[in-house]
Amino acid sequence: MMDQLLQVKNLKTAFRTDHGMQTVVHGISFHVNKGEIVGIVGESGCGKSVTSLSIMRLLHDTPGEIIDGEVIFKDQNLLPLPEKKMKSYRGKELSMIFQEPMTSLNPVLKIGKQLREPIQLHLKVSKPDAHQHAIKILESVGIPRAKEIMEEYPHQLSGGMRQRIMIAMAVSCKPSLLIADEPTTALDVTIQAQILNLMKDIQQQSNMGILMITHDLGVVAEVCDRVIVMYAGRIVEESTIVELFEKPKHPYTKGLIASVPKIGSGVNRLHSIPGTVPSPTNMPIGCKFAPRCKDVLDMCHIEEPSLIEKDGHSCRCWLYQDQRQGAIINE
Amino acid sequence: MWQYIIKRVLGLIPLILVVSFVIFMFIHLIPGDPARLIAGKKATLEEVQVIRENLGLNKPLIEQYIVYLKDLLAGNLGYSIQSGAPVSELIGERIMPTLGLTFISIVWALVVGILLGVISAVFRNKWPDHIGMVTAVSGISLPNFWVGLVLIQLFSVQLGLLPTGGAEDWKSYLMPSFALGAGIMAMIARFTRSSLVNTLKQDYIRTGRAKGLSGNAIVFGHALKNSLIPVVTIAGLQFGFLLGGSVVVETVFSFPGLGRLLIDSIQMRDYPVVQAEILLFSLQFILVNLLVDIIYSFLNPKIRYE
Repeated sequence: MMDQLLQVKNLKTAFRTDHGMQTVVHGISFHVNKGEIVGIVGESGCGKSVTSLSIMRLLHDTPGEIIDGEVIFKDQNLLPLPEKKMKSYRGKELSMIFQEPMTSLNPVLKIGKQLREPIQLHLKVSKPDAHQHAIKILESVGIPRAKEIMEEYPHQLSGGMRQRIMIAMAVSCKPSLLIADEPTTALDVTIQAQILNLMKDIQQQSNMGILMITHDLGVVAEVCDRVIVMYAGRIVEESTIVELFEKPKHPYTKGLIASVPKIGSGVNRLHSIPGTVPSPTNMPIGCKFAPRCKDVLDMCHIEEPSLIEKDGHSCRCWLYQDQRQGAIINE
Repeated sequence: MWQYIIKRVLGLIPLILVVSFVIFMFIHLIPGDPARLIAGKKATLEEVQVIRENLGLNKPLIEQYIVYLKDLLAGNLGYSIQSGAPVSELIGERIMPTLGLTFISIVWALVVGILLGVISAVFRNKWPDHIGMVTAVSGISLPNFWVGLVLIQLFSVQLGLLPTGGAEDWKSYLMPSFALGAGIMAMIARFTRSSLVNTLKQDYIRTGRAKGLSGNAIVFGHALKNSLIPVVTIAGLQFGFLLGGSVVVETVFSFPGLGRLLIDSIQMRDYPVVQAEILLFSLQFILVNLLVDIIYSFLNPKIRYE
């Protein structure tokens, strides 16, 4: 085992609904090593954002609740910690940036005040020191005229600038783990590349781990070392980035990769996976992807396959378990 | 900032002119003849006519308005038809108690209302919220004259602790300002609650939590300023309501303020006094709205930079 920074074990998160508790994250387990960038990909509604909020224990303002599992960060399980202790982790050891740079900054407070807050809180420094520190951080994320920006309000800045500020805020206390929930989704393509490069640079300088939540395989290919593919609240495949793109196993992953448009492929029609993600109230009994799968077997409708690892490449699919275990699936 | 304020103040001049014109016309449309009231029941037509001419009431309305406006610009509000005393003097005697009363009412209503709203929002759907909102609904539903009468019955008649009326010392301000502010307090509490509940769902609040901020830092440092914008609007509008309410409450508590003066003057068709008072109320309303806009621009930097 390498140096594990974060270990998520059997995490289950459920939402309170009118029909009782609905589980949306079904006991997922994965880890992030020190200095590693791990991507979680999946369609919207697959539970990837809920997973990230669960790790941060930021489900306050949602109907969500963690019902089981462990989130072990540097040998400490975060879930049983009292809220006060958890606050000392947030923003210091674990930081998070969000999808919407336009709404993630407080519109009525100056950038400076918002940047100083975590610095004063976690590094226990005076206001002028925090101010100097904030200016340095702003410069390090490539913001010109950092001093003036400190006195400005979010609405005076562009989306890309705001996302840089969010990143500056998140890394200001040198966290060991940065969770980025769709950090580039709301940005222009050219800005997306800049932001991804920035995150990579910071990661290389400070050796922090990054958990990159995204629906965009392009982003994953660009920055990640390892990828986790989620579907309907479960991990369906996990492998290194090279392996995933070269030898995808799960039909869902194959579908996702085929959906990425390729220039010069000569195909006019874009590939798409038929059907939609099943709703939590109406889950298939067996494999959750079976209704949309083109390689579906009889077994898939009867029992859900488990996540089986082979040579560092895990997959939750009967196609492979059949081959490996030699189990008889036809009755 | 200053430019903005000066621009807004200059913009008020035409507004005030229009308001003064409308008030003047409306007053003269009220049925009833002041000349006849002054002359008494037994007066002959000729006598009434003489009085009418002395007061300038026989001239065309437009001409009367121009005379009125000229006097107004010179700072002369005219003379009471009833007592002959200068209107400015009559109003001067009554203005301080009413200003005191409305000021105390709005201040306690704002402080208690915002506090109650914040508590309710933070503990939403728990017992502090329920208590807060029951208080608020009661405040909105109970008419202020009734609250006033109950207070008099309880504290003056039964317990003998407070005077039933007048404006002699601080004690006589307690019950009227409570009766006057209760409805506004309740309104502000409800608006603060719903606005804050909404603000607490915003993305930037989640950002604040992700930074590791405490609950108090989130509510008071990040959320409250954002949620006060609609509250300020309501408080401003309610202030107009407060002026109307003061007429009723002052009557209930025999409070020597502008409200009572207005009622008395209307009954006597004392045009100059009524006119001056309504103009004063309108001015007050306009100024409060200006104040609200200025507070807005403090709360919301976007408005300030437009």
